[in-house]
Amino acid sequence: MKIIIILILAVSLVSCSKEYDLSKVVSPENLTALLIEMKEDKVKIDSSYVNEIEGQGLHYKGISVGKMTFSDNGLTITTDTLNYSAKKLLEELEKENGFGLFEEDEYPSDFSFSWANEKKNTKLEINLVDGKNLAKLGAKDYAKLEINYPKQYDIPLANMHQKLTEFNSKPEYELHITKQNCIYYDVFLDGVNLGNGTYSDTKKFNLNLFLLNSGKHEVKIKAIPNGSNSTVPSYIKMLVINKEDEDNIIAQKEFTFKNNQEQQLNLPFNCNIPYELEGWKKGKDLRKDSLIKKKITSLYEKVGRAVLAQDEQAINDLFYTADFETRQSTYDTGYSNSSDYWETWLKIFKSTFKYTIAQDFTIEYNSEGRLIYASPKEKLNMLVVTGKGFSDSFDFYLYQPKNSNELKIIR
Amino acid sequence: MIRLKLFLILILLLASTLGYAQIDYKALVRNLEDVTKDTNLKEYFEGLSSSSMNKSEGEFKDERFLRLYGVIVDDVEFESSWSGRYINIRLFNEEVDYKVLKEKFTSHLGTPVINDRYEDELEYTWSTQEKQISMYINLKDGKFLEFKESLYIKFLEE
Repeated sequence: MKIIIILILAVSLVSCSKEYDLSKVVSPENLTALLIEMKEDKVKIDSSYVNEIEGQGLHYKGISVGKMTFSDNGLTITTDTLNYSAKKLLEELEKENGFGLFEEDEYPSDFSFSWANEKKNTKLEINLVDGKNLAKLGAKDYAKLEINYPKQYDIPLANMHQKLTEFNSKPEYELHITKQNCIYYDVFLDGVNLGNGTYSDTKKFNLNLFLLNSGKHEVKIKAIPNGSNSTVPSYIKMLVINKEDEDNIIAQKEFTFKNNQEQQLNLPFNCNIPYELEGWKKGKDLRKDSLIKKKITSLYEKVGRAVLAQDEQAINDLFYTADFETRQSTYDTGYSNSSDYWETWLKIFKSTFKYTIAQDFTIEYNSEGRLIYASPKEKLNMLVVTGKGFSDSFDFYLYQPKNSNELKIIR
Repeated sequence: MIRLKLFLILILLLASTLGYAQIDYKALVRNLEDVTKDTNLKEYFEGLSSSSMNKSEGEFKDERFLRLYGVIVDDVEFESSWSGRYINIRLFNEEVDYKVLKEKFTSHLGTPVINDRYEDELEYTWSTQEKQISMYINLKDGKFLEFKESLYIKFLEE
């Protein structure tokens, strides 16, 4: 008899108050399934401002939840102001995810903790009511937990971080040029033109992008002194530093001009980088290629057409190697950047109505003709994509692999 | 029958304990009175949230894990220079903390030098061969009002 009464009580309790454990929602699919279940159970959802559910059996591993709001890619849970809910939720999340990123005095909350990975971003805000601090949280302190699920993409460009290597040591080589009374200089690294300097007295150049391996390298500058009869001597100084090692000076050279002749200054240095890149090492010498102009135009045409056609695979194939080498050489290995960069492409796709390619351009041959860069004569950029209130432009370093007849983007 | 019930209860208790195995927060508390001029801070704070340790400033700010003679500490900042190591300890403005620390420092380090030049503030300095501790408080009607500044510990070079 007793057993029957207990069973009846248990069944009636379950049927009266169905509970929904929000800790079981670990993906957008789980969230959709939960919402369908709630609709079937006739749970009241207030959609007047945001989609909001109050109480009605909501909890997070037994921690009482006052309300939840939800969207397509996430949910926000606010605990009840009772029973040490903030303390319990923080401890539960630390048990699940380890210690998160801690921030203090983040208005409107008093403290916040966040955890992030490829599939889930979690942020917990703690608001004090009767507690004094994190070590003395009170029973009425409450917490707001925001969970969102970043959109997942299949395209390799959006998942490049999985292939990139995270190194412990991240040497970052930079060239610093200081000049006085010089009007112009060009900068080269291992025969690759990195740009020039005119007005500014100091300028920095990132070298990692064009360092393909450890060992000996050489920076070269061609500087033209100021031709006036100024009493201030023309002077130029170059420093190669490693930013990782407290701006440690790797090599330096300075020169004071004695006349108005252009000077070429060479600065050899040794670098020790943890990555090795293929780059344009196996590229063809393009200096005698009679079809080079046509090949360059054709490459930029390919990019323009792929953008206009919103051809994701083509963009992936055109840019994967260059983006991989660029990100590896700058230690840009974070997962969120992969999807951010890809979403930038998706925005360009959406916004572009047409593209234009410069037809009249000069070609700069670097590294014994293996790496080329086209500079338009009249326009600013080789490829411009435009749309309503939108414009973006592209210029690339190109090379041609020995086993191919087509140019490829490499930087 | 009773034995069976007891067994089931034990199983249930064990399962619930294992299921709810929380982080042992007490074991992670760092007692700042243990820090010396030679303490390796990276090792000292190992196991705690790395984000709470601001690397550039040597600052740790999760009060759940910071104690000084049992007093909860809001924030601790370490500095090193040619003249040695310094620690700035920010406290919560609790009179009881002031009393505990004054009593603990005095019993461990001896009688402090008290600067009572100004009517509404007091400066305590405890000195040993190894370190010097300064505590500044503001007074109201002769009683503790608040800590005027962070508690300051300077380790003396030999």
